[in-house]
Amino acid sequence: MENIMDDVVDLAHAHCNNCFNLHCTFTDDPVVTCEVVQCEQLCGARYHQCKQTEHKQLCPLQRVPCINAVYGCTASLVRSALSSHLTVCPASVIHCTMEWNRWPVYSSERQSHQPTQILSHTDTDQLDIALALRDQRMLTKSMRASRKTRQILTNSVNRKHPAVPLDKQLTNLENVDEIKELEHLLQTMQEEKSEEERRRSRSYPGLRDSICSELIKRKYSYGYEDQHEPNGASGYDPPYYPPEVYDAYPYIHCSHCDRRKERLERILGSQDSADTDEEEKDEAMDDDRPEREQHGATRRKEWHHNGCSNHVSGCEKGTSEDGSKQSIHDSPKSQHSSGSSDVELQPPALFVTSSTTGDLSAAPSRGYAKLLVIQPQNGLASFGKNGHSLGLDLSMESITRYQAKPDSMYTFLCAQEFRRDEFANHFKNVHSDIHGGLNGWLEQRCPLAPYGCTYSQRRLYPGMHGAKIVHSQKLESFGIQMEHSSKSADRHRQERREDGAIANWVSSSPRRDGDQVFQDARNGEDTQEMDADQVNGQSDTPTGRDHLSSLPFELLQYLFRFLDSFSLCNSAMVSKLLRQICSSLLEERGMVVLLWEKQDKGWQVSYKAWLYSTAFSPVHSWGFENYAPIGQHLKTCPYNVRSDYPDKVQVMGKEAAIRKKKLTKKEPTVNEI
Amino acid sequence: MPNIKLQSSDGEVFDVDVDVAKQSITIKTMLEDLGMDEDDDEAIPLPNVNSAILGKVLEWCQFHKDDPPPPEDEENREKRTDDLCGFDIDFLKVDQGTLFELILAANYLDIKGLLDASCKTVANMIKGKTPEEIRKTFNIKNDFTPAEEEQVRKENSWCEEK
Repeated sequence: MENIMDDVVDLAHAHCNNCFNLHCTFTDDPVVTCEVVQCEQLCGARYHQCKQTEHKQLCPLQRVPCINAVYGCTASLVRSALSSHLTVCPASVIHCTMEWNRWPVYSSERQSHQPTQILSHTDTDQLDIALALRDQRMLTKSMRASRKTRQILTNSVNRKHPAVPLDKQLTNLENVDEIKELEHLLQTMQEEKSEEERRRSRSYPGLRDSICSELIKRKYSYGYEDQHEPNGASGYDPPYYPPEVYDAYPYIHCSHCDRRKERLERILGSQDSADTDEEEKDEAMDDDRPEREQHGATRRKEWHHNGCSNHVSGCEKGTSEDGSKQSIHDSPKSQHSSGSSDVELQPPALFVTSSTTGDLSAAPSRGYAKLLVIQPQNGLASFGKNGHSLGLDLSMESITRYQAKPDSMYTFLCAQEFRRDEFANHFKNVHSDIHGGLNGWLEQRCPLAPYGCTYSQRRLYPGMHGAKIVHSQKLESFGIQMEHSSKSADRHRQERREDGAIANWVSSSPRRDGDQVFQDARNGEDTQEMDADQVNGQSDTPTGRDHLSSLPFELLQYLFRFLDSFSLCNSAMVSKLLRQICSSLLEERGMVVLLWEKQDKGWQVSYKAWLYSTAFSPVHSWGFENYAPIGQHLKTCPYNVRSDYPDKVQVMGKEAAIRKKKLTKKEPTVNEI
Repeated sequence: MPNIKLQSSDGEVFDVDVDVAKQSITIKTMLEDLGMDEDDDEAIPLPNVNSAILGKVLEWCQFHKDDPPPPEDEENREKRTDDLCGFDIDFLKVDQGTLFELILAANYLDIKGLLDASCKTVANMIKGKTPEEIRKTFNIKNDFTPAEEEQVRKENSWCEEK
């Protein structure tokens, strides 16, 4: 810049250098002065001609490249528009550094033996599960990095596990065997846990050992342990299913068996009978276990009982304490947001929600117990492609970024990139509204989730009624789906059908050609009723034309400008034409990042990559869905079983009661005296 | 207000209020350029719009005739799609063939309000859907080769040599 200015000064004539007179008439002497001219861009400035170069440095109407040109922006615009362009500049990219934490489902610092949760595919409709699975994918990918790399990436606040994703987040690599990777992850988790346990047992020999031995002694002498005590004290085997059950219901471990196993042991031990009904009845008498005789829940009971008895038989066989078994249960198809009350019988499933883990995670140093190593019986591969296995806790924790995390806690980063104009809404909508609402506000789970109910309902809708939040595994991001037209069309149609007047006509009428459409148009509403049947093309397109692709290119561009980046990303994967349209809008709506490569001379920019972010249309308001309160679900929830106690229960000790009775009898005598 | 006659591609003649018809910038410009005779009975031919669609377009124009002119929206900004009025939502509950013909007609007649409303309706049908769902919704054929699709799926970006 200084050089340029020097040049300008050198060029200027002696007179011109100091002359700012717009109407200077001293232009005769070519040695010291020159002509006064107007700015070529018509900005209104007048100056001596020799100062034209200088003026171009300042002229607001001069076309200049964007200041982010070095970062890949190709825009060339008038200087006065530079600042307003910056907010939408494709090269003005912000990396989101939001972070959150999760406990692994089993952890020595927190809760020792919660086995892996195997979830059915359909559960990804539930946002909390979708996000937990996303986090787990990040974690499995990070395990590809060498141990050394991972160690380098740890720091004083993430001492054990580096924050993931380690590298820039890309979409899923299909060719990677995710199941194998997941197995690897689980294996690593277990190894780390065993190491931790060894370390602990070394570092606190006296006190811990004595407490443990006392507890175990007490446990065996009384035949059961207090249910409020940590389960880890015993290192027992979770229930085990025979392989055929495993294949049929490759899902979730039954937390219930896990927790109440002592009671079951006691009951089964005292009865010596395998009679199912008897056991169930007995348990019902002295246990507050909620999932029991309910609405003829025979299948569920059967499974559940199977789990329990198998578990017991496992104990009898003297299975080793460390080698635990992966137990499984059917995870029923999600009743997501159905609001319907006729929930099918649901075999138990495990969900660790904030209600069950909050208190435990608050006391992270209580892992004195003997740890349970969980090794899937048949390997995760046996679950097939429909199963997800979740080794992370569903509830998210937020530990301040600069605070040291507990060793077994994992840290996750958003690590996505956004244009400057998208970032604010991304942060607000995704990290504040959605993430903040996952622990029970946006996605409301059945209160009996800790007992295994997988029911949840979405309480809020974004923006307008009918829209909903979705999670895309391809983009690893949340998006917003507008279903307004189809939903309201359905509702509309339903109402009309109830009306009855045109119901038969609607259902029996063939598809109409143009003239008929017109006639109907004049009849007003009737047409809309008819056409509502075909709205969104769900019903009429399987054999129909591709109307969208037959639009002219310019119109498609115009149409696609109404889409958010999230949808543009998806549209670009639909067909070649749509990909072309999306690529033509990159400079307007996309962003550009530089790809660096290591070459002989060092790191150099080798490519510019243009892409769309995963930001979705801003959500400015949320509304409550019209679902029935969760209490409605509880009426039919198979896990909600009331324990009725028809017999009187003695509340106080017998002696205390007698003493009190005597005392009350005596009182009047005292008064009389 | 005087009426003018509009003739659709299939020959049907619509007699409409000039103010209603003038929402179409194409018709407005034509009337301004050519002038209008009070006693002229000749219908304006609209060869790209059939009677069914023209009927719907005029129905929309009739409803929106008192709307204020749309504000100039900023370029490069993402446009909202959740601000359709109740009438438009119901009006555009039509089958896809009609919807896309309305887009074409609105573009030809240069009626920005109708074009935006119909484009927003289509955009709402795309928003938030997976590629497979979009294909299914619009019956779009997947013309990527498996290798291309794999590539697109892996890296959904466009590289450019520096």
